Amino acid sequence: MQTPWEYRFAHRTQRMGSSVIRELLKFTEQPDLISFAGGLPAPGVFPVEKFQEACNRVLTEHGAQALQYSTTEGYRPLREMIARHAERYKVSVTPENILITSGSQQALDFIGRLFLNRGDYIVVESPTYLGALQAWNAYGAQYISVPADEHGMIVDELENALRVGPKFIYVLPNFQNPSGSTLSLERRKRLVTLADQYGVPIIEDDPYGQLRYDGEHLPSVVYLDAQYRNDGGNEYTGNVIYLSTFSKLLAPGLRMAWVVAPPKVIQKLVMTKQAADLHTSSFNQYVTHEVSKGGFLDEHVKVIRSVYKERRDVMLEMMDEMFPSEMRWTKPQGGMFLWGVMPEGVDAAEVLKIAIERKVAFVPGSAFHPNGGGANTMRLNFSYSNPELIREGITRLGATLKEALKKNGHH
Amino acid sequence: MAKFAKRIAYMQSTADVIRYLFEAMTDPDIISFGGGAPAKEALPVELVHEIANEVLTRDQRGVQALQYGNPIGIPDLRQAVIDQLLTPKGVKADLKNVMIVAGGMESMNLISQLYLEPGDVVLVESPTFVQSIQIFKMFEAQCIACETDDNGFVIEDLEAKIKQYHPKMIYVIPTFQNPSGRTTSLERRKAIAELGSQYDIVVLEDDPYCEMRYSGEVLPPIKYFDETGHTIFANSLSKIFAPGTRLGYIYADEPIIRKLYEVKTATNSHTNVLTQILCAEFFKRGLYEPHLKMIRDIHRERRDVMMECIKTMFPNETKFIYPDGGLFTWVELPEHVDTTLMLENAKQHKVAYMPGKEFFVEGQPIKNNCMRISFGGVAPDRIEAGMKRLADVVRLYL
Ligand SMILES: Cc1ncc(COP(=O)(O)O)c(C=O)c1O
Ligand SMILES: Cc1ncc(COP(=O)(O)O)c(C=O)c1O
Repeated sequence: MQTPWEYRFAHRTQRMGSSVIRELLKFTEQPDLISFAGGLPAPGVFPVEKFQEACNRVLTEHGAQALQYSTTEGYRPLREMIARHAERYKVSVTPENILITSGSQQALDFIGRLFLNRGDYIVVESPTYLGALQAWNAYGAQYISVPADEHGMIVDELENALRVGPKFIYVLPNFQNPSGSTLSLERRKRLVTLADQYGVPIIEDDPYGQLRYDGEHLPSVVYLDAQYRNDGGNEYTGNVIYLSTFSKLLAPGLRMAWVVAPPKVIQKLVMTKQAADLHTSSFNQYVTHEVSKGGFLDEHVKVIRSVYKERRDVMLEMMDEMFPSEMRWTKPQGGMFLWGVMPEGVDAAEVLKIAIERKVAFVPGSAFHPNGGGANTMRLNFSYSNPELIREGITRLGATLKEALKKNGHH
Repeated sequence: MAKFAKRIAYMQSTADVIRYLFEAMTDPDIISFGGGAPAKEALPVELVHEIANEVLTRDQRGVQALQYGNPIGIPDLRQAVIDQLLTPKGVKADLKNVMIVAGGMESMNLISQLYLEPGDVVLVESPTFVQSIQIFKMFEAQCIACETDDNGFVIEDLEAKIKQYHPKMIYVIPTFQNPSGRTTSLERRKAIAELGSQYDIVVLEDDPYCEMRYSGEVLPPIKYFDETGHTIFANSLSKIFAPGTRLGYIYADEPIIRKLYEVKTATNSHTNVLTQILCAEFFKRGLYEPHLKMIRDIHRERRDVMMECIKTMFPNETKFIYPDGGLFTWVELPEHVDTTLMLENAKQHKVAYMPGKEFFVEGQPIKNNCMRISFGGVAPDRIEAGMKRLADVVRLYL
């Protein structure tokens, strides 16, 4: 008999719609469409030559190891490098606190696997990162949304959410995807205290922390937690699982990221990884280490900062000029995204359809709200397109928006 | 810290054995037959070096290698898999049927995500590959072992268990099975495909060793006999290209691949593009065939040396499997010998193997007197030295 496929798939897959972002990424392949939709780094800044050199060196010096099976935890020199890097931000960790994952997306999936039973609650900001929702939907998660403003999650509203007994709190403190907002220092501290008080762990997802273009670096939640606990030891044993990735610093195609967590959690994550993909590509780990070491990564991050800062500035400048006056948007101090809010009643998905005809694209904001809402919001990416395209794209989008607002009875 | 989900408790004990075997791998004094790695001499270091040098430039594929990719993989690697791996097996695949994954292991993970509900039954061989079982159990499936003999699943028992348990899935490693080294016969391949169709069961065919054949006749995969789309063919590029690059593929009906696209997106976005490109170029440049011949030659010699050692050094009561390919043989010692306990002694003699007990699951008798011995990762002279040590250990227990 022919398989009736839809009937055979597990329940957990029913909440996996094909992702809005992925559908939209298809548009970036049309050459004349300007896409602010994706979350792609600018290809022009990839250090291609450095990578080629690193591949050569790795294959000369460690050829057999780089092509062979390796340990699940990850390549030790790379984990040591990450530990030293964390040290710079005063987060005291050892390689035993670190697991290499195949992208932060994999870490999010593993966290779901490790903690979630069907029906468990997770506290998220609203809006929040779509990829995390996709990962956790598969494990039957339910979400308690805490509203956010330009200073991130409104932590005063967190306490109610914690009373429900969630499995963990998911927070993106720096230049949040999608909103571009940054969690203020006071709120970070209060978050740490509240989480401790209620015994709920925090997942701190921080792919963009190093991509700050202005303002002061703020201490990470994992650091504040260690400080709060007066954690004097070498190993971190606190309440936070911290994620970051090489995707935005070096290259997403490598699928290279890391988790910092108490050793007890790392051990369980290692078992989870053993039963998922065994280990992250040894070759990519060697190459990433080779590229990053000797200060290159720091130098490269400076280049990225200056390129993205310019793009952000151009986009903001153009929005001031071209966008209808009824619109509001965030002015992120870093990262790759900003967030636009249209007047209530205007549907961003409808606007997108017209925008695509005008050859410009963005992501409608509703996708980032697990419990509904945000129909009048949009995410714009400023890292991928060059300044010239940003100017043209925002001009097109501005005209589209003015028209859409007019149709909805504004002006 | 919050409590871990229930599924995590299942995973502890196996992890301990695997950890010891990893330790044995890195200690140069221990000769380890415990791992599952292929010969390092068979790794295409020079070829990859040459390819990397040529294609990882800005005007070639350097930028593509570093940017986000497609969840189902890059088209030219999928095409190469079709042309050079699937078509020769007699199956007709199209780009829509093939997806690249991060190692063969990941297929089991993605397919479990796709199909398994808590309490679902998966029928497996006895013995079978532990790491897959770990995955099925993590998805809270119940694994039930069926009777096997030298030709794989005993079909009568498989069908009886189908009727008894109404399984969601049958998991089978048809060629040079891990751990036993056995190969499922042609008739039984056909029968398994038909059972899947008849009873509406997913047949997960995990075939990472099929290209590593050193003797005997090539057999078509179970998927070849599948007329209804119930069989999913999962394979690894670890053994024919390089395990460290974490590449594998799934060949299945289009609706399955389409849904796997979403599962993969939620799991880790896509398989890394860098090694996909290196591997695609390896195939496209015609390097695969001569390389495969080299892989076979290296491993054939090791198998032959290993077989000779068992025959000449081990006690007469020893039973073992003569594998026509792959990396493993399966040794059965007299019943009173517990190979898990014996491992302590083997450690002292600086030799390691995988105790057989690990590979058994509920449904069939657990045998304590078996071991999986891998000849892949050990050079011929070391095989001789190691087998001598192991024979000494075994003799202590007789
Ligand atoms: C907040 C956040 N977390 C995780 C990820 C996933 O990153 P990776 O490429 O490491 O999987 C992204 C990527 O866009 C992100 O924005
Ligand atoms: C039966 C079986 N399936 C799958 C795999 C996974 O191979 P990989 O994930 O390295 O491609 C192995 C490797 O040892 C295996 O023996």
